[in-house]
Amino acid sequence: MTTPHDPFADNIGRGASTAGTAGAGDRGHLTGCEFLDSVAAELALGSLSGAARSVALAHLDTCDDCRGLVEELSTAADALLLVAPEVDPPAGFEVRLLARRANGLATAAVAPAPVAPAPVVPAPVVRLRRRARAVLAAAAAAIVIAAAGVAVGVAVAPQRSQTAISNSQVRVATLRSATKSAVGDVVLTAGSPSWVLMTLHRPGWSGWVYCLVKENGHSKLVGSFWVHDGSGSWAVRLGGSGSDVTSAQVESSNGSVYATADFTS
Amino acid sequence: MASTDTRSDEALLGAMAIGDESAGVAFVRRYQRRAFGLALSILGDADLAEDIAQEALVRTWRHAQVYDSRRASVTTWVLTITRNLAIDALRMRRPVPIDPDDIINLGIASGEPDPSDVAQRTDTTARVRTALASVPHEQRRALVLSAFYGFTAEEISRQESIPLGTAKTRIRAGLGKVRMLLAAEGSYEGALAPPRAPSGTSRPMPSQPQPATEPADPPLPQEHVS
Repeated sequence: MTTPHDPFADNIGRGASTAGTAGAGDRGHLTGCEFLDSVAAELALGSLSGAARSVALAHLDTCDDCRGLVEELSTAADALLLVAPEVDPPAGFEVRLLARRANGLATAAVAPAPVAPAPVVPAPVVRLRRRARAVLAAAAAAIVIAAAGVAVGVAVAPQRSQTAISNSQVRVATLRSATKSAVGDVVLTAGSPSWVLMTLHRPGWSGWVYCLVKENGHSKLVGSFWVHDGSGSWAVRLGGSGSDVTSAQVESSNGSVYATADFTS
Repeated sequence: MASTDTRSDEALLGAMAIGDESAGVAFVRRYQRRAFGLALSILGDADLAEDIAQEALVRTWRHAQVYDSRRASVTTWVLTITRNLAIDALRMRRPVPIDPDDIINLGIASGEPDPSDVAQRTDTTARVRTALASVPHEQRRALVLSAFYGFTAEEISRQESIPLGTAKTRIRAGLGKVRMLLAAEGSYEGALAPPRAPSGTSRPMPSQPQPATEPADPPLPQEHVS
């Protein structure tokens, strides 16, 4: 029961009178610990809001027992998420994620940061994201298709069949070493923005490599990436349209040419 | 793809925080199945689930330097970020039919762990599934609606067509039972629980949204690796 000197009870009274939320009237008859006990599960699950949450958190600052209870319930609540099954993501997930990270697409997220109210994403941003995703999805699919030795007819991501892209927008070339061995693939997507996606495969080899593209007769460095245990995937957005790129080249850290992909042959 | 990097989660995050790209790729490979599986369970849409899982992992990567092992385990951190993003996405496209039994059936029936899982983690997951299965069905539904879909007691009351007080009681009783069962089996040790906080400090509740305010993004390099 509420005691005359219980400051928490005063808080409850104010919260109940100003918030007017469901059940608020009942809280006036509870002590701080009793009230906390009644909402501890919702607090631990993150579903308590408004005045009730504020009052509960204020009480936790003053009561070690209740804080311990909520911590235990929070651990149990978090554990529930483990129940969700692990599922293999669609093919190309990793490549798209790396491209997203490198190009800042994450800043135009579908969802807002936790807690923050849902942002109104400007329409151009949404369109840009969709466009970039479509290009990347198609390009990633092209990598898979090329690796499988299938000609790129219509490059379409299996999970996004609605995002077809024409042959003229996606060009695929095999990366070949000095001995003409196939050591990877390069996918070039022309347009705005244009992208280059690269995969390298060479068992037992690790190290930094540098990627250059030849455009209008001039070579320019567009990035570097780490090849780990003989394989690596990488993506970067090109500055121009990408339509004038004629070849891509991979160099080792000492400047020697490791592999070349020719888009003109 | 299973991760072959043998570093601990905490070591990977530490390496990611100082720009070790290969650590980031290993981290993504280790957690992509969990993040995508959780997002798919909540959203039921593979395209949107991929978007959410990618966003969650990118944010984890971006904020690796602010991970505080006293707050929660890495698994908890990643899954909570994924869940919060999925719930936000879900709210933006409501109304959609939600049936908590979908997750209950998926989760409890799922008995195929990732071969790359360490035994301890798989064991913990199995214990949580067993604990949840032990909760009465109506309490389990309320619990899943709250834990996975972010439903408040009032929303559960409407969804289940039950009085508000009953919804609150189901949430409380259900979570209390899970807590009791997990504590009895010692499941709070190991992969599930965060390392013990230093004496005299309290661990903030991991279910509280985190991070409340995101730090400024560090400049992103123009290249990355796998």
